[in-house]
Amino acid sequence: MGWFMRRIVQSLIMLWIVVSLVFLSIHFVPGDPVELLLAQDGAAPDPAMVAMVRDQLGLNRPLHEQYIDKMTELLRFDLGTSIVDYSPVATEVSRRLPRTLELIGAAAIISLLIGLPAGVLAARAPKSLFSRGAMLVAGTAQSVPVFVLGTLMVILFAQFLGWLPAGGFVPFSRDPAKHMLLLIMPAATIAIGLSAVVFRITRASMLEVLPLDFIRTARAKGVPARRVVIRHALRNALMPVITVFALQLGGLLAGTVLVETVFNWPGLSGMLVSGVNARDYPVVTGVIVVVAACYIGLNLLVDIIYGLTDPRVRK
Amino acid sequence: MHLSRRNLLQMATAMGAATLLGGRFAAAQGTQTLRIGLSTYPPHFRPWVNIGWSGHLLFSLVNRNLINYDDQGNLVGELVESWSAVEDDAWEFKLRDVKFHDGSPVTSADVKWNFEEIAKEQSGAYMYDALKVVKDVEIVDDRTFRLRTDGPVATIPALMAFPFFTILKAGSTDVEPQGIGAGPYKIVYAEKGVGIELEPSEHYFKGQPPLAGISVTAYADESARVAAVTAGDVDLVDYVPWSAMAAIDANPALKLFKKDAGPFMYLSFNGSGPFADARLRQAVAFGLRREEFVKSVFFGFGAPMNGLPRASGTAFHNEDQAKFWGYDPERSKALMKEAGHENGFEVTLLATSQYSMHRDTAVLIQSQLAEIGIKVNLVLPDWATRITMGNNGIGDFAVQGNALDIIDPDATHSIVDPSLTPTYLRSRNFEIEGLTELYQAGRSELDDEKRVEIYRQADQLVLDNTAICGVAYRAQGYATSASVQKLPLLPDQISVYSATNFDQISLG
Repeated sequence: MGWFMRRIVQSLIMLWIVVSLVFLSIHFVPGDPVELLLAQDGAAPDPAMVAMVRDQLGLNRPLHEQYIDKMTELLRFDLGTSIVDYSPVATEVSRRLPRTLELIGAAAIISLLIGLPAGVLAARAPKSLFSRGAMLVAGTAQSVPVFVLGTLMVILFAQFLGWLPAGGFVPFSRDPAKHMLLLIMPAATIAIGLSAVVFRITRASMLEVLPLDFIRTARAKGVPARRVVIRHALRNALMPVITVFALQLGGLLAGTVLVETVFNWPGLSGMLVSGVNARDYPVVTGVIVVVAACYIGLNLLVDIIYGLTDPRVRK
Repeated sequence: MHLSRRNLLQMATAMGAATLLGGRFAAAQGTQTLRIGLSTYPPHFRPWVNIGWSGHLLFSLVNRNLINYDDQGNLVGELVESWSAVEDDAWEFKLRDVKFHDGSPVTSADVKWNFEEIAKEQSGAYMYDALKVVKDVEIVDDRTFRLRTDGPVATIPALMAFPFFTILKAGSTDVEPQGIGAGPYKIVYAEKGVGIELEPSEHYFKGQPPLAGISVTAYADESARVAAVTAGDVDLVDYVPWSAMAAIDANPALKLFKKDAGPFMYLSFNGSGPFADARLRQAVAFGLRREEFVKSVFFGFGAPMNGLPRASGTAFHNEDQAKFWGYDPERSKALMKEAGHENGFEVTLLATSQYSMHRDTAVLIQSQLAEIGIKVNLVLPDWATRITMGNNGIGDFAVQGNALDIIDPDATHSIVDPSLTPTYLRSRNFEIEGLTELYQAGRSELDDEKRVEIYRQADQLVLDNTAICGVAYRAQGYATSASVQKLPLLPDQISVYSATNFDQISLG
């Protein structure tokens, strides 16, 4: 029990450090949110008005006071209010987070459906044409930047073939069919790179497990080949796949910005980028808190699962 | 037809695709809903605040000003049917019989309430400063009101056409943030960052708008925006990137509507360094080959800016002044020699790396000025930092991009007069004797011919002293599907606000 508590406390400290660093760095970066807010498209606001709005928003107060207020807010699970549109950050995050999770979830499912079977098949015959070809494709898929891949998909499937919309978002509740159509290309764009990772890790892990004694024993006992591979080998080879996959998914939480931009998908990454560009401090801090909490939470979960399955980890 | 396996597969694929996509195409063709791909989702819906050109497009479909421009740049009545200067310090306006979206009439009391709300310190209104000339709004009757000023103010009618100066129903911002307007459409759905849907207002004073509705989606990325209109996902996009204009123009399924002399790029100067000397500012102005900016930065879609931005169709346009800054490197070198910098000098140019037009303009300026012996060091932070640095007076000169709010020549005052409150947008730390007074005189003069002469003199002062240095006009373009009918653009530098005339857009 002490180990679990220690890990939870460590995670909370990590979260506090991340939030503090983000708070300080965004405040120290040059650029004034009020000047930006009032200086749309060539407007030059009067400095007196800038000073007045800064005062209204409390941005003239000493930084340590703003920091203490922010931490107090966060302890109350309040992410604050946007400087730009005065809307609660938590409301906007709660709107956008599910969209990003949906995108990542769809990409995860596609990548598992492609990467896992392909990795197993390639490991069973590592010198086969399929295995070599798949390695080549995976290498290429990983090396193509997502914005290039996304743009190519838009050109091919939207502009040239006209099969899919070029981008955008419609809530599922308003138009389920269009929602799913709009999900296909961005999810596929993320999934292509992710499939390559799953494929390579699965293949490598299976290649380590397949020559082991217990596999040979299972075969010698007459267990059918398919059952040996799926029930015995794959089960044992999955741990590294899960670890890497979880880390990749965590990274995607705030890393889908290019895909969200190319496909005009209004998720969390886009909110973070526009928050940074507008120097909307509460938005930036709020999004980072949520992303960091998810990422740290995911890692904590993986650690706890490790601890439960392998008692040596807890020592 | 021979039914081979290949034919069968092709037919099956086509039928499958048609089933899958049928809804999409049917929606595009079967209704009269205009789908707009907007370059920016409005940051908020608070009225009177400048929320950018794309935000203005949306608000123009929902609200109306008292006065507007026609596509020739003439002021025309919008919510008011007539106006006149009844006394030296008073303009009288007569409202049409117009109604807000909720069916209530637009009255003088509503107009007065708008002036009062804008004048509040915390309003953040774009018109806050400009409307300070109005001292009082007198209600004559329900449909007649007078604006009292301190002495004659010739720009009052033009100010009523100012962007974001829309008239809302009194008190309506207490009910919903954007208030209740009197425009052709009303907002029925808005999800931040996703989309906005409008439906026609049955009370619009010009009659029922021709569309069944308008659906707005924000496409912040310009490539995504172009892809959306090319793929047929939307019918109209704003802010067409110059790199895509040629392809859109050549595409028979699309139309390109543009004004070549739209917004403009220019240089502002900081007189705290070498540019305190007007001769060195002039040396810069005569050392630029402006056609190259149009070709390389704006892909040929624009025009050289050899003078000040004066719409070509107006009396304030002067052909000689419009061509004042030609390329004359020998003159530049002579001016530098005269100023004691025969062997050149070194300066810092502030721009931003966030927007390619600013960055590329800066790089080209650096390269061209090197030819006449001016060494330019570039400072290219992100846009937010650039604004702060500009406000703090960093850099010897700066790349600027802007448009005009109104056609009246007074609109350039905030750009060209370095003695005004320093901001990131204009020159500072030097003065041009007599310039402020000339602008003041032009503003107070009600006789049009006399105003033309006053502003001609003011412009000459700006040109001779190179208070700013014009670089290039950039084309302002909208791309539409071929089915879009009527997209009247406003002239030249106010073309960014053309959406005030988009109430008559229809789909053919």
